[in-house]
Amino acid sequence: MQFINEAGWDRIARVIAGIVLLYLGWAGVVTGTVGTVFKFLGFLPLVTGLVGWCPAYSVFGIRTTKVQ
Amino acid sequence: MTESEFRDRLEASDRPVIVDLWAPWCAPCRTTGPLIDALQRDFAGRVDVWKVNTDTDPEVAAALGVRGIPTFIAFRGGRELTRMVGAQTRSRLSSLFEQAASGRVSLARLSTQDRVLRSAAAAALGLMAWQTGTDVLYVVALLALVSGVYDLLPLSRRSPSA
Repeated sequence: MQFINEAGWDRIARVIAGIVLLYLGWAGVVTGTVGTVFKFLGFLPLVTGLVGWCPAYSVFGIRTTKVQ
Repeated sequence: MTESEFRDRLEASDRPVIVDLWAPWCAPCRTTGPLIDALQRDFAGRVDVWKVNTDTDPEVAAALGVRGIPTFIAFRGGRELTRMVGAQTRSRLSSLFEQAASGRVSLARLSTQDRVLRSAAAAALGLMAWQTGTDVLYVVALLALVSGVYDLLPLSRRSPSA
Protein backbone atom coordinates (compact mmCIF):
# COMPACT_ATOMS: atom_id res chain seq x y z
CA MET A 1 0.00 0.00 0.00
CA GLN A 2 1.11 3.48 -0.74
CA PHE A 3 1.10 4.95 2.77
CA ILE A 4 3.30 2.28 4.36
CA ASN A 5 6.77 3.61 5.13
CA GLU A 6 8.17 0.79 7.29
CA ALA A 7 9.93 -2.31 6.01
CA GLY A 8 9.00 -5.76 7.29
CA TRP A 9 11.96 -5.99 9.68
CA ASP A 10 11.12 -2.53 11.01
CA ARG A 11 7.52 -3.50 11.70
CA ILE A 12 8.45 -6.77 13.42
CA ALA A 13 11.03 -4.96 15.60
CA ARG A 14 8.44 -2.34 16.59
CA VAL A 15 5.80 -4.91 17.48
CA ILE A 16 8.26 -6.92 19.57
CA ALA A 17 9.53 -3.75 21.27
CA GLY A 18 5.97 -2.64 21.98
CA ILE A 19 4.95 -5.99 23.45
CA VAL A 20 8.08 -6.15 25.60
CA LEU A 21 7.51 -2.62 26.93
CA LEU A 22 3.85 -3.35 27.64
CA TYR A 23 4.75 -6.59 29.39
CA LEU A 24 7.38 -4.89 31.54
CA GLY A 25 4.89 -2.19 32.49
CA TRP A 26 1.63 -4.11 32.92
CA ALA A 27 3.13 -7.29 34.45
CA GLY A 28 4.84 -5.20 37.09
CA VAL A 29 8.34 -6.28 36.12
CA VAL A 30 9.27 -2.61 36.08
CA THR A 31 7.48 -0.49 38.66
CA GLY A 32 7.34 3.15 39.61
CA THR A 33 7.42 6.01 37.14
CA VAL A 34 9.36 4.02 34.55
CA GLY A 35 6.83 1.19 34.75
CA THR A 36 3.96 3.64 34.25
CA VAL A 37 5.76 5.15 31.24
CA PHE A 38 6.28 1.66 29.79
CA LYS A 39 2.57 0.88 30.24
CA PHE A 40 1.66 3.58 27.75
CA LEU A 41 4.84 4.10 25.72
CA GLY A 42 4.62 0.49 24.54
CA PHE A 43 1.50 1.26 22.53
CA LEU A 44 3.46 3.63 20.28
CA PRO A 45 5.82 1.10 18.61
CA LEU A 46 3.08 -1.55 18.75
CA VAL A 47 0.54 0.51 16.80
CA THR A 48 3.03 1.98 14.32
CA GLY A 49 4.40 -1.53 13.72
CA LEU A 50 0.98 -3.08 13.18
CA VAL A 51 -0.13 -0.29 10.85
CA GLY A 52 3.19 -0.03 9.00
CA TRP A 53 3.21 3.73 9.04
CA CYS A 54 5.36 5.93 11.27
CA PRO A 55 4.34 9.59 11.61
CA ALA A 56 7.88 10.59 12.58
CA TYR A 57 9.20 9.00 9.38
CA SER A 58 6.66 11.01 7.41
CA VAL A 59 7.72 14.26 9.07
CA PHE A 60 11.40 13.66 8.35
CA GLY A 61 10.89 12.05 4.94
CA ILE A 62 12.35 8.69 6.03
CA ARG A 63 11.28 5.33 4.60
CA THR A 64 12.68 1.93 5.43
CA THR A 65 10.51 0.28 2.81
CA LYS A 66 10.91 0.49 -0.93
CA VAL A 67 8.72 2.98 -2.76
CA GLN A 68 5.96 1.20 -4.66
CA MET B 1 -9.46 7.09 -28.64
CA THR B 2 -11.47 10.04 -27.37
CA GLU B 3 -13.23 10.18 -24.03
CA SER B 4 -16.67 9.83 -25.63
CA GLU B 5 -15.54 6.86 -27.71
CA PHE B 6 -14.22 5.24 -24.55
CA ARG B 7 -17.47 5.89 -22.65
CA ASP B 8 -19.57 4.57 -25.54
CA ARG B 9 -17.49 1.42 -25.74
CA LEU B 10 -17.71 1.00 -21.97
CA GLU B 11 -21.48 1.31 -21.90
CA ALA B 12 -21.84 -1.09 -24.83
CA SER B 13 -19.77 -3.74 -23.08
CA ASP B 14 -21.89 -6.55 -21.65
CA ARG B 15 -19.08 -7.85 -19.45
CA PRO B 16 -17.16 -6.26 -16.57
CA VAL B 17 -14.04 -4.47 -17.76
CA ILE B 18 -10.65 -3.93 -16.15
CA VAL B 19 -8.95 -0.90 -17.67
CA ASP B 20 -5.18 -1.11 -17.38
CA LEU B 21 -3.63 2.34 -17.80
CA TRP B 22 0.02 2.04 -18.66
CA ALA B 23 2.89 3.55 -20.64
CA PRO B 24 5.89 1.95 -22.35
CA TRP B 25 8.40 3.85 -20.19
CA CYS B 26 6.76 2.80 -16.90
CA ALA B 27 8.81 0.06 -15.17
CA PRO B 28 6.05 -1.06 -12.73
CA CYS B 29 3.70 -1.37 -15.73
CA ARG B 30 6.11 -3.84 -17.33
CA THR B 31 6.19 -5.82 -14.07
CA THR B 32 2.42 -6.06 -13.75
CA GLY B 33 1.74 -6.53 -17.48
CA PRO B 34 2.35 -10.31 -17.48
CA LEU B 35 0.20 -10.68 -14.32
CA ILE B 36 -2.68 -8.91 -16.03
CA ASP B 37 -2.22 -11.08 -19.13
CA ALA B 38 -2.34 -14.26 -17.02
CA LEU B 39 -5.44 -13.12 -15.13
CA GLN B 40 -7.07 -12.13 -18.42
CA ARG B 41 -6.71 -15.74 -19.51
CA ASP B 42 -8.00 -17.03 -16.16
CA PHE B 43 -11.06 -14.78 -16.31
CA ALA B 44 -11.66 -15.16 -20.06
CA GLY B 45 -15.38 -14.83 -20.83
CA ARG B 46 -16.09 -13.28 -17.42
CA VAL B 47 -13.99 -10.10 -17.38
CA ASP B 48 -12.53 -8.14 -20.30
CA VAL B 49 -9.23 -6.25 -20.10
CA TRP B 50 -8.62 -3.05 -21.99
CA LYS B 51 -5.13 -1.65 -22.05
CA VAL B 52 -4.96 2.10 -22.42
CA ASN B 53 -1.61 3.67 -23.24
CA THR B 54 -1.62 7.00 -21.43
CA ASP B 55 0.89 8.44 -23.91
CA THR B 56 -1.30 7.82 -26.94
CA ASP B 57 -4.67 8.26 -25.18
CA PRO B 58 -4.09 11.05 -22.65
CA GLU B 59 -7.70 12.23 -22.97
CA VAL B 60 -9.02 8.94 -21.62
CA ALA B 61 -6.50 8.96 -18.75
CA ALA B 62 -7.46 12.53 -17.85
CA ALA B 63 -11.18 11.73 -18.00
CA LEU B 64 -10.64 8.84 -15.61
CA GLY B 65 -8.74 11.06 -13.18
CA VAL B 66 -5.56 9.03 -13.46
CA ARG B 67 -2.68 10.64 -11.57
CA GLY B 68 -0.18 7.80 -11.62
CA ILE B 69 0.46 4.63 -13.54
CA PRO B 70 -0.09 1.80 -13.57
CA THR B 71 -3.72 2.31 -12.59
CA PHE B 72 -6.25 -0.52 -12.80
CA ILE B 73 -9.93 0.40 -12.83
CA ALA B 74 -12.74 -2.12 -12.62
CA PHE B 75 -15.93 -1.15 -14.44
CA ARG B 76 -19.24 -2.95 -14.32
CA GLY B 77 -22.30 -1.81 -16.22
CA GLY B 78 -20.36 1.25 -17.37
CA ARG B 79 -19.75 2.40 -13.82
CA GLU B 80 -16.48 2.38 -11.91
CA LEU B 81 -16.47 -0.23 -9.19
CA THR B 82 -13.02 0.23 -7.68
CA ARG B 83 -9.45 1.02 -8.68
CA MET B 84 -5.87 0.23 -7.70
CA VAL B 85 -2.89 2.52 -8.26
CA GLY B 86 0.73 1.44 -8.45
CA ALA B 87 2.46 -1.92 -8.82
CA GLN B 88 0.32 -4.72 -7.42
CA THR B 89 0.86 -8.31 -6.41
CA ARG B 90 -0.87 -11.11 -8.27
CA SER B 91 -3.20 -11.75 -5.32
CA ARG B 92 -4.33 -8.13 -5.23
CA LEU B 93 -4.91 -8.06 -8.97
CA SER B 94 -6.76 -11.35 -8.72
CA SER B 95 -8.95 -9.77 -6.05
CA LEU B 96 -9.67 -6.88 -8.44
CA PHE B 97 -10.76 -9.33 -11.15
CA GLU B 98 -12.95 -11.21 -8.66
CA GLN B 99 -14.56 -7.97 -7.55
CA ALA B 100 -15.25 -7.01 -11.16
CA ALA B 101 -16.69 -10.44 -11.92
CA SER B 102 -18.89 -10.58 -8.82
CA GLY B 103 -19.80 -6.90 -8.60
CA ARG B 104 -19.00 -6.95 -4.90
CA VAL B 105 -16.37 -4.55 -3.67
CA SER B 106 -14.28 -5.65 -0.73
CA LEU B 107 -11.71 -3.83 1.32
CA ALA B 108 -8.14 -4.33 0.21
CA ARG B 109 -6.98 -7.79 1.16
CA LEU B 110 -4.35 -7.90 3.83
CA SER B 111 -0.97 -9.22 2.88
CA THR B 112 0.18 -12.43 4.56
CA GLN B 113 2.79 -10.41 6.45
CA ASP B 114 0.12 -8.09 7.87
CA ARG B 115 -2.14 -10.95 8.81
CA VAL B 116 0.60 -12.95 10.55
CA LEU B 117 2.06 -9.91 12.32
CA ARG B 118 -1.30 -8.67 13.62
CA SER B 119 -2.55 -12.12 14.61
CA ALA B 120 0.71 -12.92 16.41
CA ALA B 121 0.59 -9.59 18.22
CA ALA B 122 -3.04 -10.29 19.19
CA ALA B 123 -2.06 -13.68 20.59
CA ALA B 124 0.85 -12.22 22.56
CA LEU B 125 -1.30 -9.40 23.91
CA GLY B 126 -4.10 -11.80 24.80
CA LEU B 127 -1.69 -14.00 26.69
CA MET B 128 -0.27 -10.97 28.45
CA ALA B 129 -3.78 -9.76 29.32
CA TRP B 130 -4.66 -13.17 30.75
CA GLN B 131 -1.46 -13.32 32.81
CA THR B 132 -1.77 -9.81 34.19
CA GLY B 133 -5.56 -9.66 34.31
CA THR B 134 -5.52 -6.30 32.56
CA ASP B 135 -8.74 -5.37 30.76
CA VAL B 136 -7.11 -2.74 28.56
CA LEU B 137 -4.78 -5.38 27.11
CA TYR B 138 -7.76 -7.62 26.29
CA VAL B 139 -9.25 -4.73 24.34
CA VAL B 140 -5.97 -4.06 22.52
CA ALA B 141 -5.59 -7.78 21.76
CA LEU B 142 -9.10 -7.85 20.33
CA LEU B 143 -8.40 -4.78 18.19
CA ALA B 144 -5.18 -6.35 16.91
CA LEU B 145 -7.06 -9.56 16.10
CA VAL B 146 -9.80 -7.71 14.22
CA SER B 147 -7.19 -5.70 12.29
CA GLY B 148 -5.65 -9.00 11.21
CA VAL B 149 -8.81 -10.59 9.86
CA TYR B 150 -11.15 -7.70 8.98
CA ASP B 151 -10.92 -8.38 5.25
CA LEU B 152 -12.30 -11.89 5.80
CA LEU B 153 -15.43 -10.65 7.60
CA PRO B 154 -18.71 -10.42 5.65
CA LEU B 155 -19.09 -6.78 6.73
CA SER B 156 -15.99 -5.82 4.74
CA ARG B 157 -17.78 -6.63 1.49
CA ARG B 158 -20.41 -4.42 -0.01
CA SER B 159 -22.40 -4.31 -3.18
CA PRO B 160 -21.96 -1.19 -5.30
CA SER B 161 -24.57 1.48 -4.61
CA ALA B 162 -27.11 2.10 -7.32
